[in-house]
Amino acid sequence: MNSLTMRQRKLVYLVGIVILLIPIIWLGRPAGGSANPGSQDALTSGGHLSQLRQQYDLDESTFGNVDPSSATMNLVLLGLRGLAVNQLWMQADEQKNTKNWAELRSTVDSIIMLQPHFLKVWRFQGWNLAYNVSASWDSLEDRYYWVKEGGKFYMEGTRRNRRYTELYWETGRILGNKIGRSDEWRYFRQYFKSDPDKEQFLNGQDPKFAWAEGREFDDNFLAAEHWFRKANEAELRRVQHIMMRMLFRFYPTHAQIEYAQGMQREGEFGERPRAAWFEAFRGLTEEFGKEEFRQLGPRVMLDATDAEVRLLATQDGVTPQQKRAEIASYQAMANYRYWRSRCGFESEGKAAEAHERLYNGRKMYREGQTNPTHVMAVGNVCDQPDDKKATPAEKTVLKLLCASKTPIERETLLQELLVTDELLESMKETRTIRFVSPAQIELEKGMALYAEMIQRFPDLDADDISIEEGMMAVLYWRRNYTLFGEEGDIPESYPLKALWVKHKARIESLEADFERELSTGG
Amino acid sequence: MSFDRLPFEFLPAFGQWLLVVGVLSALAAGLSLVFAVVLHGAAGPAVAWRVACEGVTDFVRMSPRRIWALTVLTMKESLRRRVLLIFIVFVVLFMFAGWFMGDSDMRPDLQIRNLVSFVLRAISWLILPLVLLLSCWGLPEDIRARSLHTVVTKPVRRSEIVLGRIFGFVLVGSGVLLAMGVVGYVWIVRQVPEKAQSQLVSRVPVLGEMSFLDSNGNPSNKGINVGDMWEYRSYIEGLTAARAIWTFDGVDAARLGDKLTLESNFEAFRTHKGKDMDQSLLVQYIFVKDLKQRIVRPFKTSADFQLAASHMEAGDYAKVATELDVIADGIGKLKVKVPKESRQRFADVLEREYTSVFEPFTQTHSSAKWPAEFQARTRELVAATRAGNQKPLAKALRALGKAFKSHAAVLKKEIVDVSVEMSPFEIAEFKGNKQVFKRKLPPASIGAPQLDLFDDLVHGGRLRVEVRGLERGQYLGMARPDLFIRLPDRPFLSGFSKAILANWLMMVLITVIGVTASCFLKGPIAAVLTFSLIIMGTVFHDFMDRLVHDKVPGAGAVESVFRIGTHKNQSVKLDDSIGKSIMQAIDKPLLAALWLVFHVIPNFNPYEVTGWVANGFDVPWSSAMMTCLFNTLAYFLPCSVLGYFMLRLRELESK
Repeated sequence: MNSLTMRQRKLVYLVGIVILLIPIIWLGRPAGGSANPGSQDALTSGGHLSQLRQQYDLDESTFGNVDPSSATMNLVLLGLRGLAVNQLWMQADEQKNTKNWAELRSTVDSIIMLQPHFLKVWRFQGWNLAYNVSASWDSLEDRYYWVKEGGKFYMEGTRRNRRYTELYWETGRILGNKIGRSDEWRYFRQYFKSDPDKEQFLNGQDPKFAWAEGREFDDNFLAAEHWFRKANEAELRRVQHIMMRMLFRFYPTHAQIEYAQGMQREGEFGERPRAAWFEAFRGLTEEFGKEEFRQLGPRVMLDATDAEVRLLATQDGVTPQQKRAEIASYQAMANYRYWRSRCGFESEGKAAEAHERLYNGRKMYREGQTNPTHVMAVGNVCDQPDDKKATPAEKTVLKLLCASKTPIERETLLQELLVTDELLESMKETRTIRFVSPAQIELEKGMALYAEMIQRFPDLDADDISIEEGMMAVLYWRRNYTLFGEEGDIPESYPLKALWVKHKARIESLEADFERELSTGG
Repeated sequence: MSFDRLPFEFLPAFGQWLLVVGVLSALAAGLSLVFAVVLHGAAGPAVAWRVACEGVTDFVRMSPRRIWALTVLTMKESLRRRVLLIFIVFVVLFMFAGWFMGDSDMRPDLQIRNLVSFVLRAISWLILPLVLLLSCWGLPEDIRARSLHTVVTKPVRRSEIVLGRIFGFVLVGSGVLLAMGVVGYVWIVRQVPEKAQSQLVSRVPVLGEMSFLDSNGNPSNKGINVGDMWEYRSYIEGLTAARAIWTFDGVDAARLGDKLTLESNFEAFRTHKGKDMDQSLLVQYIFVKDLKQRIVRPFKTSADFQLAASHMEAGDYAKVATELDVIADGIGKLKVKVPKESRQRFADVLEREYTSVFEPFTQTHSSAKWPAEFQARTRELVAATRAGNQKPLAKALRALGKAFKSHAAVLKKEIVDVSVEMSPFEIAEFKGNKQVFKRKLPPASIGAPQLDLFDDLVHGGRLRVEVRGLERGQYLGMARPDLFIRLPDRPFLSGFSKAILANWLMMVLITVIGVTASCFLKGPIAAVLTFSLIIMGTVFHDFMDRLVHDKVPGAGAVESVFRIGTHKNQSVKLDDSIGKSIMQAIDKPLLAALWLVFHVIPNFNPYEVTGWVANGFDVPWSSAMMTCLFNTLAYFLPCSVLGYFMLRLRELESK
């Protein structure tokens, strides 16, 4: 028989409860909300179980921002989350096929609520929105809207899942590849700077898409670079499963290169793109090139100095020659030498000038500035002694042309020197002078600079982009002669002739591109 | 959901209802007779007859006053069961709906769709468990608690109890639904951004009949498939003879006012992207009055009439008459035999086209004789063609030819084709292109006469609109609902309230089924049965429909089991054998039974009208609301009768 009274029993129970509370609180106390997940504070705050969760990255908050609605949904479903998720996936697919965009967006949000930490969901649906759904629309503004939706989806994914390296990279890919390299790149890049939804964004950018962490990016490639850098930071904490590590870590530099190239594609030359190329060169040689990669055994550093090569060789127990060979093979994998040359080449002021002149020359051709209204001396006629058979008028003309660094307008010659058209034509026949158009003048200047740069950077001679740019300039230049039936007037020697002859197999395809450029205006 | 539902036709639906109810009643009567004989022996039939007569009496002599009393009782009990707690869930949902909805960056038109869909779906999902549990548990709980005994001991008929329950639960559900509807409507209006408020309307479309011309200008059933998985839309190629044609009826100034508003929702498909990728594809409407084409069309259905058709197109009606005489002679001498299918097609097209052409003339040219004469000759020819007798057919052809010849002058004047090309416009996908055309159309060129849309292009209320694309290598996709005449909009409340009404009709149906089930089953089982019927009627109804109407490739149940066991799929033909015959013989009644089951299980899909409202359309009466209404009514009487007999035969003492 229990001799305690009712009151005494209650007291005993109360004391027992209090005593039991001590281990319960020690074990189960939640972490304080102010501590950053993964930080030292978080590791020491809260009960023992909470600290263990933080330590082994099992806590909801260590994944990323906690969404209360997601947690609620998962609880309310009472274990039927799998069923609900299956149904939602099928629904989303059906909605995409039946072009039910509003409901698709809503369904995708619901899927994320139930599967917030399932990487494949974020990767697939983000890609789905930015590529598939976007392509289903015809209007450019609508396509851009859905590309943004995909990008914002990925950004949300990075907030909810800080550990997933892939999501940062995917965000960068949308901003870089989809905005900057798709068929609609010309428009998308413009929209990135000034959103087509004027009502909502008042001719400015969409801050949720174009800005990140308080930084405003005025170019999509700069924004892409930011996200690729974040991907690289995350990659140091958790391995990514997209591609080879070395190639993965190249992306921030690649985005910088794209930034520079993007400006040139849009016809901007001068200091800004040159500075961008220089920054790309610096990133390539001082950051990416100096990273040590351990790929399937050997350590490599793509821009290693001799001392660094010897050190790496020693560490791996191989000879420096063998190490150099290993490095060379990885350089080839990343096309490192080409990019190094290219960035170096483009960082030079002359390269920018060459691009600009070639670009302007082509544009002038398309605008019709192809009449041979100027006169210039042929080749090295200025370096040769005076031709005794030349008439005084001819000598006067040649003297003037040789003294002038630029071609002279035909009308000016006719009026100032009081020479006749027949005289100029006969001098042309004797190949002492030639007639050129404003487009050709510009192209020739560019071609000369380009030839000079290619000589300084021989790697570019094997680069498709460089070859095509040079060849296309020559094609435009030669075609100008063809316009007036003067194929025979094409000089024997001209800048980039070596390139033209070497790659004449490409002429046919270039001519097709040439025709397309003429019809579309570039 | 498809906006392309067919209008509800009462008579065929009623006929089918009578058939199903008749078959089921016969089955029920047969089974009752068998059970009566088993239980009562030779007196069984008399007992069965007596019960049936008493049932009729009970229904005929029901008292509205008692039904109302039971209704009130039911309502009180429901309220006592705290049904209004459902409002708590409703309120919580709406308070935190922002968590579940998309962010405010979403385009306004997409936001509206999401908001409306959310509200209507939330209402229907909340009301469903409420009425299901109420209706299925009400009676069994009363029986268990013996409170029903206090009712049945009064002079109350079982039929009154059943109806009282149904009406009581319906009224409770109606109150809840009404409150939710009001709250939902106000919430939507408040959530929609200010700049998008103008999009909260209920558009009233007038749909037309659709046909196509292919890239060579030949009639076609549908356009091109560009590889889209969803075959809802067909495509026409731009800058070719390809057309999508809509024929609208009921077009008149009295109905539309002095203007015609066309709204389209075409889809663009580009085979190439070029410098013009920032420009939308161009579309053009062509308004056509094709009277001559219509009278020629029947004669193009058969090779024998081709010469007559070409004379008709040329307007040489005398030669038409001559040619028809020749054909009539050939038919009379049995040299020309027209196959039955061809005759049928000819008769159908002739009747349709000639009626549509000449009937309006009987009103506009009431003093002239020729419209009525052509109507009469058409009727004769159609009847003779369908009958297929040679001599009357020949006679009718000659009579029609004579009519053509004698009225050639007036036909040349009145039976003309007129077409007017309107200015092209840019397509706006998924947003709705609205084009307004004033009655007086702009002249085609300087000096050309100005045409009146209603007087010169509409004939007998019919307007033909051809759509073509203007970009080579680019395609336009369209389905029937993608072009419609937009009548003056109704307020958003109109569509929304119809959607609530559709929900109410669904609620009534579920209540009826639930109460009926509860008359012979315990609460949980009745709930499971009702829920299963809802699932089958929603998810599996389309599949059953395809099975029953032989649209699913494959065989019946027994043959399918055989094929599964022998690894023979549908493409493998079974050898003719006794086994095959036996299997098919067993499958036939099984399919018949499935047909019966298919018509017993209610179809809940028509109640899904959310799509209309979410996409800014008014819910049409003819193709949506009437279907819902009669669907519900169709189950009300049979379920009430079934519930009455079940309750009557049920032993109330056993729980």
